Amino acid sequence: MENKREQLEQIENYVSGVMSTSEKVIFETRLSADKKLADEVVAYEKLVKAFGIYANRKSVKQRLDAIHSEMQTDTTSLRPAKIRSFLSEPKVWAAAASIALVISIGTYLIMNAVSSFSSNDKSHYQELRRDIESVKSSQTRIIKELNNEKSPQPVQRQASFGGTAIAISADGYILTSYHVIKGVESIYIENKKFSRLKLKKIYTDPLLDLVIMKVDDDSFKTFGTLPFTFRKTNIELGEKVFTLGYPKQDVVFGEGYISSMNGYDGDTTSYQIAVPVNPGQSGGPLFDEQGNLVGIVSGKHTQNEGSAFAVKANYLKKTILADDSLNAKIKLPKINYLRNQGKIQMIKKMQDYVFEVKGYN
Amino acid sequence: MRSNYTDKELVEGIRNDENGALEFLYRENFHSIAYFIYNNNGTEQDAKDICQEAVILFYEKIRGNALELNCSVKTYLYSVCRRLWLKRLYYKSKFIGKIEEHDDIFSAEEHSDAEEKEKDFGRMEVSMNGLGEPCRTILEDYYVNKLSMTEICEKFGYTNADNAKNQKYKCLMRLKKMFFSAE
Repeated sequence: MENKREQLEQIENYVSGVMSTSEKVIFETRLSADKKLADEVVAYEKLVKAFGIYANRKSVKQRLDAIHSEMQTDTTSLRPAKIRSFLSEPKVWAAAASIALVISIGTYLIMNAVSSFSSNDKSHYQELRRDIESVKSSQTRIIKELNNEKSPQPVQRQASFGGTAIAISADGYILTSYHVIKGVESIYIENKKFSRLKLKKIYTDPLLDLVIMKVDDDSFKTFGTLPFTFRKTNIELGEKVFTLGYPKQDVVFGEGYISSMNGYDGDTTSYQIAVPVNPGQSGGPLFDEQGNLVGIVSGKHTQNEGSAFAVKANYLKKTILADDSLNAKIKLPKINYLRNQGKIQMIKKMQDYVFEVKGYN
Repeated sequence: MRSNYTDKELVEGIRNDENGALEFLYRENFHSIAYFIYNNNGTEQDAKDICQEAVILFYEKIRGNALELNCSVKTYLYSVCRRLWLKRLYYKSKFIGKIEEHDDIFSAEEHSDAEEKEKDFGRMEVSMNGLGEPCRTILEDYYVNKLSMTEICEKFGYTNADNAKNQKYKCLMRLKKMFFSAE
């Protein structure tokens, strides 16, 4: 053992060139006689060389990682603008078109439904709650006509109001716009994955137009891990955003950008967005390109084409965090699992956490 | 960071191991490379991996005076990344086409050389990761950070330099065994 160690030290000294000339001569004589020793020297050289490469790369990589994370905290996104547009996906487009065809008859009527505002200064502001009753009755009429009234339709209670909501914690907390559930007695949410769940109100903030609710349903256990997070940094003017909502009974995707940092009439708690939205999309989530929640869609301008409004995520967080008892209870998602995925995948996964809200009087 | 480098200045900067040059190189090229990778079945993580790998290869070559550039730095990096990524896709069998070893940028001999180096590097990485502490840090401190045995002795709290030497010897033996058995 001791010998081996000495031998290694000698090899080391020889290879790194710190031997004195006399030592070197002795060592080289031994080397030419001892084949095994010569092999050891070659092996050592190879090892040290590989080690050198490894160590160098590691240190350069560390420097690059530092640069990369610095780039990530820059305001500009690391992900360059994608060319892939929603409309250029022929299958999706075809599917969307066919769904739209089937449902359009019913839904076009809905678009006219507007809940009115009392105050004058909001005269051009339209809340995007969906008023369902009128449409439903006309739908039943169509169905009746189709069936020639042969079989009596089972009487199902029709929802009076509709909107969109988003899950914000795995254990069943839901966020939507306050005006969606204003004056509504019982509230349900619905989507494909979790079907129908009853909600109870937890916290309302009429000023910010937000409400937090919780699933109050025996069949419900958990939403599972939410794949998105609240955006931590400030969003910039012009950044691309998209929303998912229920202006009809199927989820609808809308895309656009932040068009102004303040909302209606200089409202600092909301953004102006250039995203096409329609009644029923109130309470819908607004995401940035990396799948971070940046806002909640709340309304649109009635006069200016293409300007809608969304409550800022910072304020959402402030609402939730304002109340200590709430803050302790609601475990907001921490990790964004969608960052690296394409938009289509992202939307696919997010759909499970976006709900249609149905309010009954 | 300087806001602009010509290719010549950039190569010179890398050769002198200037941090600013490295940063410029990475920042300047990441987006176009990432764009290529996103559009070819890759994720953001893939883009980061590939871009860093290419920058490291470029860095090594410049530092080792082993590169004669006959195109712009951007073009060079882009084609390295392209090759690295197609190779990776090929191994994941997502890319069935032939990876043309085109672009006179790479000579044949450079390939086999680089492959040998890559193999050694891969084995060393596996070995070092399997080595565990404190061996890994001791070896890195001694061989990379060039700490003396006395400093290492102090850092790790060995009673005397001989103990530290002994530990280092054992670590090196283990590394050697792992490295050559991985062959």
